[in-house]
Amino acid sequence: MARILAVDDSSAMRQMVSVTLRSAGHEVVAACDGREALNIVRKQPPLDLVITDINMPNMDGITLVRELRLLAPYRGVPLLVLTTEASAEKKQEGKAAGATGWIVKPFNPERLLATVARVFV
Amino acid sequence: MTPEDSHEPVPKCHHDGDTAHALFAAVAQIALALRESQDSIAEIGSLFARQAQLLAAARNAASTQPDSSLAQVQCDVFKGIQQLQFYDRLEQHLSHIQDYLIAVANELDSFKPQSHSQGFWDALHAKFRKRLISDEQRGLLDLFVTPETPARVSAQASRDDYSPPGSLELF
Repeated sequence: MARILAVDDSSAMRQMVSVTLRSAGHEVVAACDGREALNIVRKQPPLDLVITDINMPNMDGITLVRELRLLAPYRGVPLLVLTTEASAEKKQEGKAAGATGWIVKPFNPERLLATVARVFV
Repeated sequence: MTPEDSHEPVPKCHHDGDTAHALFAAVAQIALALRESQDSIAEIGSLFARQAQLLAAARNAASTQPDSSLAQVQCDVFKGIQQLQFYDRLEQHLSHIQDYLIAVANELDSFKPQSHSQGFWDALHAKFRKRLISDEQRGLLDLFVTPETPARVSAQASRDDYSPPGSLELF
């Protein structure tokens, strides 16, 4: 099972993502914005996957993705964006920053778990 | 003599500054409404988390035989998780409306308003439209935005530029 970092400024969303992932046996670490996420990844052994929102205070999700890709242990780690942002332009921005995939909220828990399984293949 | 009897124009009751303050008041009320609902939403989230924990424990206890009632609870928890996310979408939508209202209010309150310039409104509507998160929201805005503005580009072309809610794409 994977160790996953879930980043979202909404506590309810963090819980929803955590409950879904834990139901499949994954270990979840949560952060409320990009800055806290970066602090966590710098202090912990590399996590297996990061799922991040886009619109957050202090540091947004695109910046977080960009910053993570600069860290050697995270160059190959899957980074999924989970957001209400649905524009092709924003998605392109995420892809260019280094995101692995883009999920538009509301996520379907079963599909999220299937996607998590898929990105590890 | 009532204003209707007079040939003089009816005096304006509200200045732009008053309108701006009304808009700021609306923005503050939206913020309060969101703040007041946050604890309840967080509590619902905690309830789902607790249900999921109980479910996992019940599964472990009944590990030898699959229990259909547990599968139903799991299904209900997942449905609840999906539906609760519409609150997050609501928050995003209202936050974009707040930003839009603040921009309008600042413009009205400005000493050098640019509102005589169609360019200002075009840019504001285009920005607002871009941030909206569903076709329905954009369609509703389009009803109020004049056809001449660039924000109201071809609806079909616009739809193609946005992924539907719940969509998933791996790069």
